[in-house]
Amino acid sequence: MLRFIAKRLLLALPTLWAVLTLVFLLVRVVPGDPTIIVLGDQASPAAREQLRQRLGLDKPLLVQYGEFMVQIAQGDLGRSLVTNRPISADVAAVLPYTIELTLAALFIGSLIGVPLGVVAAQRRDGFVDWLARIVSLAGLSFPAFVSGILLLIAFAVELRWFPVISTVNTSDPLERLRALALPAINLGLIMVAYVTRVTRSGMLKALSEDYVRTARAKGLPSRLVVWRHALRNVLIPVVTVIGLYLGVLIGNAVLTEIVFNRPGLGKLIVSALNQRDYALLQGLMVVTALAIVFANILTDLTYGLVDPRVKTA
Amino acid sequence: MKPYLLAATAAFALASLGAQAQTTLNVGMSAADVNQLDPHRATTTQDKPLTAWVFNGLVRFKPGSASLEGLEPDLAERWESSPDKTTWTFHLRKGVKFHGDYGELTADDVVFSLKRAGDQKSSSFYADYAPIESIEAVDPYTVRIKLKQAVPAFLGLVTNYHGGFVVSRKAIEKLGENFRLNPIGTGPFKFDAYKPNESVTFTAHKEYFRGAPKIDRIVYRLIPADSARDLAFSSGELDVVYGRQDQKWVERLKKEKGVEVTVLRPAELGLLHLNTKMKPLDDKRVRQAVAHAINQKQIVSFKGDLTADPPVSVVPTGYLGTAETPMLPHDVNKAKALLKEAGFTGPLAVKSVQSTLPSMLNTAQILQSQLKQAGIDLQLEVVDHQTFHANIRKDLSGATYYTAARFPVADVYLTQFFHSRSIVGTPTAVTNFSHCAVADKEIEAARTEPDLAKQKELWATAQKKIIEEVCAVPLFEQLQVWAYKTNVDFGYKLTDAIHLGPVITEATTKK
Amino acid sequence: MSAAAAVAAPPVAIAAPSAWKRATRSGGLAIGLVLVVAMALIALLAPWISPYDPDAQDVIMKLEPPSAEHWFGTDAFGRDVLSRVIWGSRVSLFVGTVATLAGVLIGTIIGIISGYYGGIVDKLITAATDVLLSFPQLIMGLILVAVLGPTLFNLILAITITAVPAFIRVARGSTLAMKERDFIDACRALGFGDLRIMFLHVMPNIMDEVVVMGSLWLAAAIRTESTLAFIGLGVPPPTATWGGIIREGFDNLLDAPWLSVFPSLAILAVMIALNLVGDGLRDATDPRTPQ
Repeated sequence: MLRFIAKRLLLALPTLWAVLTLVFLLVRVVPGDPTIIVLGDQASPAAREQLRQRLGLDKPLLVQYGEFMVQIAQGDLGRSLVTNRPISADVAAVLPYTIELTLAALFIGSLIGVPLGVVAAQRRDGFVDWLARIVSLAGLSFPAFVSGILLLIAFAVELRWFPVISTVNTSDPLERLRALALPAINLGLIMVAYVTRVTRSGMLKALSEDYVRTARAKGLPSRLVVWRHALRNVLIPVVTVIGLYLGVLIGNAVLTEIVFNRPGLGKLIVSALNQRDYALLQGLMVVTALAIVFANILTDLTYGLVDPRVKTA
Repeated sequence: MKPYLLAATAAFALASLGAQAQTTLNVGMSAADVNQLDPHRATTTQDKPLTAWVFNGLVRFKPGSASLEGLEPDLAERWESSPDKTTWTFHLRKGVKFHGDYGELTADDVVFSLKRAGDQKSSSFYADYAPIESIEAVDPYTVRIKLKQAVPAFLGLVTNYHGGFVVSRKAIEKLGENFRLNPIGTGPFKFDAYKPNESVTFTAHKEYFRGAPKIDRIVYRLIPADSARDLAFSSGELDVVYGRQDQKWVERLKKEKGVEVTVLRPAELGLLHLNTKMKPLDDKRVRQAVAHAINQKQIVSFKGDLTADPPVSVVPTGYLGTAETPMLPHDVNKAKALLKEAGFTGPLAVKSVQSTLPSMLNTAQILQSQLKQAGIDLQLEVVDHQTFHANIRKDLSGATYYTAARFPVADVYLTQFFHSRSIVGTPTAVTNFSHCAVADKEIEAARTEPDLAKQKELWATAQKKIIEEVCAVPLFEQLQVWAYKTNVDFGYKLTDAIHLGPVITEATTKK
Repeated sequence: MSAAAAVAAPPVAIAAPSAWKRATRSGGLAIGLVLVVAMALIALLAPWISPYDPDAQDVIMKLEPPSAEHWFGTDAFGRDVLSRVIWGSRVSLFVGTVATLAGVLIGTIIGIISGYYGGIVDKLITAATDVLLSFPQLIMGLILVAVLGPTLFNLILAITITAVPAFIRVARGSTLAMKERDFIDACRALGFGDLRIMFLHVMPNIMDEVVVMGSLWLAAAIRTESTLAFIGLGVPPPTATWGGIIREGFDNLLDAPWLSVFPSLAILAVMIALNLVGDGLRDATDPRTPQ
């Protein structure tokens, strides 16, 4: 298995290189540069030029690109152009928040989505099915920043179950969990919709397969048939969808992070883009791309777990 | 029990007691991040209030005031000037301590700071310090400043504002560019930590020369989503909050229990700069038509009477030298007639580069709708805020909507926005987006005019000429809105805020 | 993906009459179609059915709650929200439809080619897809719009580009599974050309998966427009779009929640309609649907 992971990582190297090159070029096409943030909007053109020189932004693009690639190859993400802090430190500071939020959202999404999908498939076209479909779609219809505020109004301000700002006391694990709840639900709602749909359609398919009919004919209890035999076959597309939407999740996390005042990878990326912090943006994209590669590897490993027929080699 | 154990227990008990008694002031700001904590560079609404918590000047604006009239001693105990007002001598307070290990403040730091403020490599306000000929430390507690000529509002340059802030020389030499996000001053609060996109934390500077602050910690939270910030304020997680500049907001917050809402000056003046070198605005009649099409009264109603005022000139109200200047009245028919006269029939397209910042975009939409009634199509090219800043400086915008507050002396505003040296796209560019050059003579003459009355007259003429040339159309004045819980007592009456936000002083308390 | 493909639906021929019966039995497809047609009509007839000029500002009517005159209330400029939602349906449905169709079309074609030919072509396409999928979609959209400038066309382009890789994956996976089927071998044996096999035999048989995903994507595309507006770049004013109305309403969410809620409900209506149609179509093409 370790060999499998190593091989996949090695195969991901060209992808990483392409991602970096793309990011490097794209951000430099956007007008503006970091000097407006570093020096403020009233600095003299001469001071700006001087800073550009110091940051190395006046060098030919190819030279900048070469230096950047050499640096990355050495495993050094470099320093932020705006804060002059090591990028690895900034990433390390936000990564735990991103990981806990993403995992919690995936967990909530699956916890609600899978049972909802199964029940909907069983009671096809019945009231439960319709309700499940509409509820899951609602999660997709309200942009995360609107649903986030609605959640805050209900559960943080009216009921006072959760805090509005979710980073006040991060050393107490219980408090941290309390602060994580609403953001995770908000992000998880998106996941619910996808998972419910895939589960429902997969389940419908599975329920009509021969082996399920056979199992039923043999007199196995319906609950056992559905939850053990049929569901197993649904899990693979579900896992696929979860893996595929990890990118969506990291991106959409930005909105949740802004509304709930949480640090996170998504928010840092948007901020780096807004501040034209090229170095930070490039560094963050390396991390994000790696995270997605890892997620894909994990997805493939999970296939083997849920369905022994799939080999991970 | 062994003595050291006892001591440890006692220390622990004390520490936990101390932790309980800690007062933390939570301040919520409407921005995604701070840009600057270096006072000689800080210009944005989210950065400026912080500079006044961390730094001092030789003299200071009375907390809660924005008036040059009521300046009071700060780092300087007293000062005197020569009869011709060209030599100023400041006597420093003794025993003033910088934050951390940066020792006592001496005349050397003051000389260093003012020189730094006057250097364009390190300061955004260097132009203000051009009249200074020399600055020297006479002895460790005396600073002498010689001026090239008398400057009427000279004391303003050594206040706790912009370039007047005194920084630690040792800290700058040691921290270099990191000083920007690790400021060291003499103020009541010292910088503690910065978390990008999240918060800046300050702790009490126990050795502050006016006495130890009563508040132990300030957490300055960056929450760009208005609703989220409001909710955190309602739930009690924030004590002081930057308000939305909107009537409804003020009305809603005023109804909340235990909440005080304040509307603060100085105002930011919103101007629509018209590019006199770009078609079709190069035709003065078209610019006049734009001015006639704009309805200032309606803009103020949209913004809310509580939070916005009609403009009086192309310089904000209350600055030294602001002259109430008549403007072209709102008259749609006149606007249409002028356009016809200029030979334009059918909708006339005017290009405007515009930021996505909601408060700015809102005003732009009102303007767009008003101009439409006169047959002018304001084509908004909406770009993100950094691109906006870059593009308007590249002279890409026909009509540029820009709001700003500057040092409260007319010269600064007039020079930066309307002097030909400041025209965008030139090496000496500042923010003259209109290519205005009609008042250069008056602006320059006023700078060196020793007689205040004559100086004011020159400034008034300059403002009249600029408005007649329609380099810019004044739109409205935007006041700052803040709300705070009634258990917060700033220690002074909060009526104005030169730093665009409340100053937290050693006397500020939270019950 | 190969694992997912392994459980993909086996191919079946579409049997029209019985399929229709199956689909209408649940009523879902019918309701969905009615809703879709209704929404298309609203968008087309906007100038005639919208009660007010969507851009007309009225300072006295600022942020009025829903009433008899203004069913959806008014916004911060005193504009009628109902009229803006009606007019906004034009742009939003256009953006959503065009971006999704383009994404589906391009993605599916590339995916089929990749899966069908395999080898170096497949490797290259898969690599490119991986690169695009390494960007979180919203970030990708944001960077693209920042680079290209926020116009309607660029917005559609950005949303399309973010949609393409997902459809490449789905189409490729399904095609791989399809390739192993006997009837494709049969087609080859009959001497059919690659193009004919790909587009006349493979494509129809993988469309059910693609259609279901496409119906989810369309709403996501409309929503993406609002999220892009939230973190930076949207359609320039005064053009009304659902995303734009939600974004503008967000600033006043505590004073006037209706501003953001009504356009969000409009998106929900579109999603329900499309998903009913999507499910209906899926069922119609699946003969194993329980009778």
